[in-house]
Amino acid sequence: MIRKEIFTLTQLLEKLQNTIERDFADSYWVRAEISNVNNHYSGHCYLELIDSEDSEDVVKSKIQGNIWSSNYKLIRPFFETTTGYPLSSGMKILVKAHLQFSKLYGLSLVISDIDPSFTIGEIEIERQRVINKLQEEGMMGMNSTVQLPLLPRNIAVISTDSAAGYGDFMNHLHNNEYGYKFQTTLFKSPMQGEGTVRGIIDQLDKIANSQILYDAVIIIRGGGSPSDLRIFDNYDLAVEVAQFPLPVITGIGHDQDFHVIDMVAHTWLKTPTATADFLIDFFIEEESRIASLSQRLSLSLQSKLSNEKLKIELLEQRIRSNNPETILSKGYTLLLKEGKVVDKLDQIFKGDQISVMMNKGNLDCVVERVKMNDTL
Amino acid sequence: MCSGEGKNERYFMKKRLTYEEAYRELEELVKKIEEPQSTLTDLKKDISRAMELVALCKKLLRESEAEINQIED
Repeated sequence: MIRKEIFTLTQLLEKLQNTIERDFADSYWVRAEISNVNNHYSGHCYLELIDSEDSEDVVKSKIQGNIWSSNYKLIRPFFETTTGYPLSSGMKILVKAHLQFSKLYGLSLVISDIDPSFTIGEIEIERQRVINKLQEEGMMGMNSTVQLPLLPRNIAVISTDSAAGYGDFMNHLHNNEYGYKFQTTLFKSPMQGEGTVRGIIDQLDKIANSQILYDAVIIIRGGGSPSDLRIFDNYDLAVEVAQFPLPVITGIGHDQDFHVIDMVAHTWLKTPTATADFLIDFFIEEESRIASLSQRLSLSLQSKLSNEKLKIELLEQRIRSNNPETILSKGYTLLLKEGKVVDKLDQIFKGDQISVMMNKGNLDCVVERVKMNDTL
Repeated sequence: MCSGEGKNERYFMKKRLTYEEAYRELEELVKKIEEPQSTLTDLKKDISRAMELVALCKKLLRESEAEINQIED
C-alpha cells in the first residue's frame, strides 16, 4: 500500500510559490487590456488585466496587476502626459512585470513599467478600425446628402449650457454684427466622460421625434484633453450621426482636433465660433446675391426706359412733321378741296371751289385757270 | 371713326391705359397721320389724340423711373 503524502495548504502553496519564484524570476513585457482600474488611496494602483485578443467578448485570461505607489508615482505622470489619457478600462497596455504569488492573495503581476507608445498605437489602430468599418458600411458622406436649407435659421444645439464652447457659439451667433435672427434650442447632453455617447444619441432621437422641423443639428463643445474628446471617435455615435435625417454640423474642440464624428457629419467646423460663422455666412451670401440682382434689375430697367423714351420721342417727331400747323407757321399754305389736302395739280379744274389754308385763316377761292409748268 | 374715338377717350378717362396699350394706340395713330388721304379734320383730331398719348406715355415712363429709383434705395 502506497503511503499518501499529505501537505498542509501552506506547504502546497509554498511549493507553488517556490516554483514560481524560481522559474519566473524574470520580468516580462506583457500585452493586456485593462478591464478595471482602482487608484487606491494608499497610492497603489490595482488593475484588472484581461486578454480578449481573438474575440472581443470572450475573456481568455485574467489577472490582477499591481503598481506599487513608489513606482506609480513615476509611471503615472509619464504615461498620462505621453498618451494624453489616464489608465482606464478598455485601454490596451504593454507592461513590464513579474509574476508574484502570495499564499493569501494568489497570483498577480507586479508592474514596474508601462510603455505609453504602445497605448498610443493601439488607440490609433482602434480609431482606424472604426473609420474602416464606417467606410465599408457606406456611412461616410451619407449625412452630407441631406439638404441644408438655403437659410438655416431654426437650429437644434446639442451641448451643455455650462460648456465654454456653447457660450462662445451662442454669443457669436445671436450677437452677429449684421443683425440676422436665429432660433436656437438647446438639447442638453453631457459632453465629456461616461454617458456622453448615450446622452448625445438620446438627444438626437429627441430632435428627430420632435414636432418641430429643425433646419440643422449642431453638436458643439470647447476643446479638451484627448481623452475627453476620444468619445467623438465612437462608432455608435458616428453611425447615429451619419444616418440622421437632418444635417448634422459639428464644432468640437480646437483647431487641431479632428474626430470620427466630424468625418460622418454633414459639415464639420474647427471650433464652436467657426460653427456660428458658418451659419451667418449663408445670410451674408444671400444678401449680397440679392443686392447684385437688384442692381442688375435696376440697370436693365434703366436701359429699357431710355429705349422707350427714345421711341416715344421719335413718334412725337413724326407727329410734329405731319402737323399742318408746322408748315403753315413757316409761311407755306395748304390747298384744300372738299376738306382734303390737294397736292397734285391734275386734281383741280377750272371753276372748282378751293380753300387756301394760311397760318391765321383761310381764303375761299374759285379756280379761274389751271396752268401747268412746262419744265416740270 | 369719330364715335369710336370718343369711346376710346371715355375708356381712357375711366380706366387708365397701361403703357403698352397707350404705346400701341400711339403707333397706329402716327401711321394713320402719315397717310396722305386723311381729311384735315381727322388729321387734327388724330394729332391731338396722339399728343395726348405722347404725354401719357412720358408720364408713365417718369413714374416707372421713380419706382426704379425706389428699388435702388
